[in-house]
Amino acid sequence: MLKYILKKFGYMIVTLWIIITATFFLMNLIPGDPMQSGTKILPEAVAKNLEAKWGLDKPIGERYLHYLKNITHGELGESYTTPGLTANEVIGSRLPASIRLGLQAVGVGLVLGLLIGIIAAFHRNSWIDFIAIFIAIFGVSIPSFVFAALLQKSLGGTFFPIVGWVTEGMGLADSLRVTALPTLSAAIGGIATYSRFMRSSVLDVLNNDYILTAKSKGLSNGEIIWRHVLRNSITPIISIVAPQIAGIVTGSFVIERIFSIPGLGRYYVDSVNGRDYPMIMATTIIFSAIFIFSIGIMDILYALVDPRIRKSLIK
Amino acid sequence: MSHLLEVNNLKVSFHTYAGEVQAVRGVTFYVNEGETLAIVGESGCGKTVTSKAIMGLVASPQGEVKKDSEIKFKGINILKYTNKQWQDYRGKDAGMIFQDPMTSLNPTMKIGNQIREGIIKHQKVSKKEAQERTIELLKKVNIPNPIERIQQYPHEFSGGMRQRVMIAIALACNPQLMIADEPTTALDVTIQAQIIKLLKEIQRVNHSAIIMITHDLGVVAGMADRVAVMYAGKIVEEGSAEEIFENPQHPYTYALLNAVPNLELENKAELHVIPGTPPDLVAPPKGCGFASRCEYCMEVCNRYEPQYTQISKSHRTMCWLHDEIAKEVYGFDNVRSVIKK
Repeated sequence: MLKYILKKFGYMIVTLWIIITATFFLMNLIPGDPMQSGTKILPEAVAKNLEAKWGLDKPIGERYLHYLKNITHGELGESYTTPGLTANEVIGSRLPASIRLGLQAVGVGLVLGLLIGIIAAFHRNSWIDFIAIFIAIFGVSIPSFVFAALLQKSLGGTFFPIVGWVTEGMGLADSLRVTALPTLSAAIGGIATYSRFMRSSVLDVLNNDYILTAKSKGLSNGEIIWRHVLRNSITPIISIVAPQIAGIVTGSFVIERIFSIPGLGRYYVDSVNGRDYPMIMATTIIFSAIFIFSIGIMDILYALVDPRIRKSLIK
Repeated sequence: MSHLLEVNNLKVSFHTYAGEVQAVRGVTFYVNEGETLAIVGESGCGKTVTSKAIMGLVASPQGEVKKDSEIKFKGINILKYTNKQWQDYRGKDAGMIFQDPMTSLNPTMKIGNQIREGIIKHQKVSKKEAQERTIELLKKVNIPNPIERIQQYPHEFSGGMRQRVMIAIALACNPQLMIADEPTTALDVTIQAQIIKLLKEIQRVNHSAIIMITHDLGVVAGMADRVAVMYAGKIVEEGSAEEIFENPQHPYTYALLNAVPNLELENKAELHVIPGTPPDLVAPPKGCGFASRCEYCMEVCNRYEPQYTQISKSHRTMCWLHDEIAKEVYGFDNVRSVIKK
């Protein structure tokens, strides 16, 4: 098992390297360069100076090698658009909020989604099921920013602040209260997706013979769900959660804007517009790393949940 | 003597888009302590549904056990049980062995835990005691190295071994009634014999009653004390194993016995089949269910349902040929002699 995990990590590093390389060259292929992206046209001499300062006058191959060397030392470079600010600092100060929002959203999404899915499956075709289906369709079809605005309008106020994020020295209860609305907004899509998947997965499992066996032992419904249904129905969910985690961490820049959250999402978009090469690279690397990492974790989780997969891996 | 299990006029229907399928249409039988009753019949005759009804496992809301049905376990009508009472009854009073051991075990749970959970549920014992009891059970069903085996998952077991585990699960709390729903159908022949032997051995030791659901007459001959032959949701003939095999009275029973391949025949000899298909149970026939496939079908068979005729104290059959009038008209002894050939 340990060997398998180590191997997985090896693959993850290789994947990350491929992404870094591809992004680096693609970025340089985008028409325009940092000097032209602003509204002001820089005098030629200034542009030359800047190019020299950022090393843009060197051939691309050399720049690539130089960049790789810097990354291995953990240096992501200095921002072009905000001189004096390094990408490391931006990520250090901005990433925690994004990650917290992402993890909370996935957590809430999973708990509520799985719960709704299981309840719906057990009350198949009853009014409970129809409510669950309604929530799912609602969650999938309404964009999260519309939902966010609805939440701000209906629940926002002194208790749930309309905008803002956790500030230093805030207790756990307070920080959960402050983050409740953005978390829910970012989670709604997940709730919808997970509940649909879970419902059909649970229905599949309930049709299996071993559920009858469990019943014939005299187990109660709760015991059957907890010991026999949950573990067997969760595998399909694992496979959709991985991209969702990355998606929520990276894709919630709209939510971050709406709720004024000091997250990384904004930089992701701004850096591309500003051709801020170090920032583009830094945000891409971070997001890819999160993505690859969550997929890797899911692969390991698969093996933990299902002994048959574990066996095939160890071979 | 009162019976361990008494089933009176059991009717089970399934509500489908095509209409109400009357899978079991009024079945009455009993099982005594320590005896084996075999319920035989072809696929779809209602034998599995009957066994599920006894375990309270008829899937609702599609499946419905009709109101006037009665299943008495030690004199108490279990169909009136609450959910909680059903849970106490399942596993403790009655255990069930299912047809397909390949799918009847939870693939993500260790074998030991699957056996143990029934014990923990019904008997107030510590985890350690339950563990010891699990190992004992695995020894009882002849699984070698039980101490290592309880840590393994179903996919590490062969089909025969899994069926032994299923038997261990059913046995976990020494139920007085065991229901085996085609326990050997999914296994190959050499394993079948071992499993039958094991069941007999367990019955001898535990003195439990077994209801054996099967369509394999070889299994019936090897195991059953009494036999009930089911067709189209009804018991058409019931008697001791000897009576059913030596002196069958219903044309369906004849046909069934005839359809067993005879090993002494030449290779070229044709296998006997029963022509036709069972009736559609959405709209069951007015008369005898077997009429359309019966060689000796009379006018009355299509119009009126036959009643039971008692052949001996333990032997009864549901066929018009046994009616006093039919004997005169048809010359019943002639029929018997024709069939015997």
